[in-house]
Amino acid sequence: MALYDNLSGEENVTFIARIYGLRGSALKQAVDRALELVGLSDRRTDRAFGYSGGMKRRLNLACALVHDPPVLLLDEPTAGVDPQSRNHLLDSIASLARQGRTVLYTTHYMEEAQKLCRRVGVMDKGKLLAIGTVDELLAKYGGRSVVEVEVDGEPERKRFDSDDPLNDLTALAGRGAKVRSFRVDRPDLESVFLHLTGRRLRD
Amino acid sequence: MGVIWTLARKDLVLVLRDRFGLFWMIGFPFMYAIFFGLINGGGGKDRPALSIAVVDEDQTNASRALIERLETKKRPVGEGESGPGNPILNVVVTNRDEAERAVRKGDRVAYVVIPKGGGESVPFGPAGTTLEVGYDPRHGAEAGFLQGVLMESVFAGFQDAFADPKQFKGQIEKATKDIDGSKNMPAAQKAVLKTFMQSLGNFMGDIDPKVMKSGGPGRGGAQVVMTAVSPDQALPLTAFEVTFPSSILWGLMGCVTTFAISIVLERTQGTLLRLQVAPASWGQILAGKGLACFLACCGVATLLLVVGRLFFGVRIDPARLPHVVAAIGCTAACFTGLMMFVSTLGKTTSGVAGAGWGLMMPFAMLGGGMIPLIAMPKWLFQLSSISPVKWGILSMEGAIWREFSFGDMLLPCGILLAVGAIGFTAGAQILSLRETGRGWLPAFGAKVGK
Repeated sequence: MALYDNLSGEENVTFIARIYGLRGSALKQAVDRALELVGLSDRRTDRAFGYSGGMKRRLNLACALVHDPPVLLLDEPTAGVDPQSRNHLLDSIASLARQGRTVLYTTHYMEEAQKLCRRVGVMDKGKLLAIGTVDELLAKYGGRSVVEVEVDGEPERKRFDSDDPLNDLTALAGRGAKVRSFRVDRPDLESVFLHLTGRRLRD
Repeated sequence: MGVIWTLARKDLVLVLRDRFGLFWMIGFPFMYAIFFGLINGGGGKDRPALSIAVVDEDQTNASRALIERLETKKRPVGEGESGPGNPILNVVVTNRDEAERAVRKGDRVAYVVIPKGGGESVPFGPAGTTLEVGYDPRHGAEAGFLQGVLMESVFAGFQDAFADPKQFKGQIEKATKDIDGSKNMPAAQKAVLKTFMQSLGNFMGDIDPKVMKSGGPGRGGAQVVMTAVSPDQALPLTAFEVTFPSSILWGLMGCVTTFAISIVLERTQGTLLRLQVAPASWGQILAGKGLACFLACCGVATLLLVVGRLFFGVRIDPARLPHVVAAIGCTAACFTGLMMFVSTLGKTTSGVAGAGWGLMMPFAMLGGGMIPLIAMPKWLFQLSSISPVKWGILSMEGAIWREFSFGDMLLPCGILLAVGAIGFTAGAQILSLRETGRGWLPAFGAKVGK
């Protein structure tokens, strides 16, 4: 993280804001807004070296945001971050996207991409393998859903692949089976990624 | 300028919060200045006796007694102290030429001449004895103190004579014989003086020695004529005037290492990359670093000099403030340039720290950081010219006590500025090639990244 450990959170953000030419009340407002957004207002005067990994990630984000950029490049911002900070970061980024900022977000956590992104690109070894909305990618590369059903009178749960789980379950009930419970595992971006890049271990 | 100042201010704040760096920039130099100043007899209650030379042209018992009184004069014992006080004067008896030479060379603060006949006439001369004191004008305060000590010693002799009527009568008899034996004195004058001596002898018979011993009419006519003796060369007044300029250079070497490490840190912790996407050019980043280092160097030098002036008697004559400012500015510029070069000597903080001190220590050892320039043999003084530390110390000493004119300051200041410019240019060139893939000047207005 590109921070000065011996500066406080506020001083780090203020320094970056000054480099971007902010001065006076505009500077103060921008710093307050950035620290508020990442949830560090109450720890603003503490030196960064005393921050946890998650707090440093959030401070890093505040430094990136303080000058109100139209485009935000975030490279694995949640790596090594505790669940609370991660959740706060994701909420903050989603909020920024809703405000109209373009966020280019790189991550190895597919659920983050699925949760945050309107368009997802899958890159491997420097090549863009696929790009589209989450639904498009799931439909094209995700494979079939897996349905697991518990039926009265049968000792084991039934498990089958399905392109249309709802239709298949309705058909099963129509054949007289008494369905006690079921579970549908839809394909996700992780299966898309593994489908596109292979399951072999990497160096 | 706004971006440069923002970068510099950030670095100064970081340095102020770096206790380890501050120790080498300020703590160690103070320890150096005070420790070596004290062991070289810098000052305080244990400071050495005032060195004076005495020229005894009289060669009588009375003049020898006066010299003995000067030699044994003790410093008053202070509150809470025990035992006899230290001697006030360190007296050497010599001839007039040697005495004057010793003062001109700075070996002695002053010399005292007891003129012929002066010793005998001290106790009862009607107009008193004229003692001549030649003193180094830089030691005006000490000379005034010496004048007081002399007067006190003369009066003490006068008082002793009255307190011992037997001895005093012997002197009167000797004086009466001298008057009788005088060939040049008119008879009428002889008669008047002999009558006076007789009356004085009778008076001594009536006097109570105890009353005189306890401080009776100790009025005499002893006079002390003070003459300033110009020294051959400017010399430091105290050891602190030598150790403080040296300590400043140690502080600046601490600045060099601290700021050189900060450049490496910027690179390794990624903040340089952050500046890459910010609207700061490579030239502004280098200028910011340089400005911060320059200001820190100036601050360290000023702080040390102020403390030296306030608490250790280092002379900062207001009339020589421009010289002091020039010395500080040029030395700070030199070490800022060296900092930029040192920052290129390694790729890790430990590498740069090691290389920095590895370069600075020989400079310090050779340039007066360990052996004072004033104490160097001639060959070493000449050899030390290859070290910028020597020129830094020389410029400081020149401004403080060597009494350099602006013309004299040109050589050390010019060398310091040249070394600084070369160091900065070389360092900036290497850093620019590493970070931007271009040389310094083409990269000056460019962004940081390749």
